[in-house]
Amino acid sequence: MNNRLKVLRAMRNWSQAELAGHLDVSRQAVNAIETGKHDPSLPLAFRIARLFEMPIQEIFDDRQD
Amino acid sequence: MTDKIDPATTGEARLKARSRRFWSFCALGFGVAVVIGVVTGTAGALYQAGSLPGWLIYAFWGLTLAAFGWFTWEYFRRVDELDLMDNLWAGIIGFYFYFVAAPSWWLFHDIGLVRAPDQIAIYVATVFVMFATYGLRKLGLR
Repeated sequence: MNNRLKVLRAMRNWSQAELAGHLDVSRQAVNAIETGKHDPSLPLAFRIARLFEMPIQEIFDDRQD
Repeated sequence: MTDKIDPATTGEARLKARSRRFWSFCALGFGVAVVIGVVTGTAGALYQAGSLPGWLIYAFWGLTLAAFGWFTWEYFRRVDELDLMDNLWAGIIGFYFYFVAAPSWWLFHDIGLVRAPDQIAIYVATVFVMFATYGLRKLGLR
C-alpha cells in the first residue's frame, strides 16, 4: 500500500524514532510502513491519522500504480 | 499504553522509555528462566537420588508452565504489531517445517531408506528454522 508517511514526517522534521515514540511502536515498524513492507493495522492507521490531523485516505492509498 | 505516557515528552524520549521497559522485561524473563533452570535441574537430581517426592517435580513443572504462559502473554502485550507479525510468520513457517519434516523422515525410514526419526533433531531443526525466519524478517526480508 502506498503512503505519505515519510513526507508527512519530513514536514514536521521528525526522525523515525520521534514518530515511533508518538505512535507507541518501534522505529522498525515506522520504517517498514514507510517502505511499504508492512501495512498498518486499522487501529494504528487511525493513530497515524489522528497524529497528523488528516483523514486516513489522505495518508494511505491502496491503488496500485 | 500510549495513554499512560506524559504527552509533553518527545517521541524519542517515549521510544527510549518504551525500549527500556521492554528490555527490562526481557531481562527479568531471562533471570526467571535461569532460576527455574537451576531449581528444576536440582530437583530432578534430588528426585533421581530418591530424596524428593515425584509430585514435587510435577508441581515445579506446573509452575514453570505458568511462568512461561505469563511471560508469553506479557511479551505479546508489549511488542508492537510488526514484531507480532514477525513472531507469527516465524511460528507458522516453523510449524510447516515440522509438518513436512517429521512425516517425511518417518516415511523414508518406513521404506528403509534412512535410520529411525530422531525427535530431538527434528525439534532442534524446527526451533532453528523459527529463529532463522524471525531473524531474516528482522533484517528486513519481509
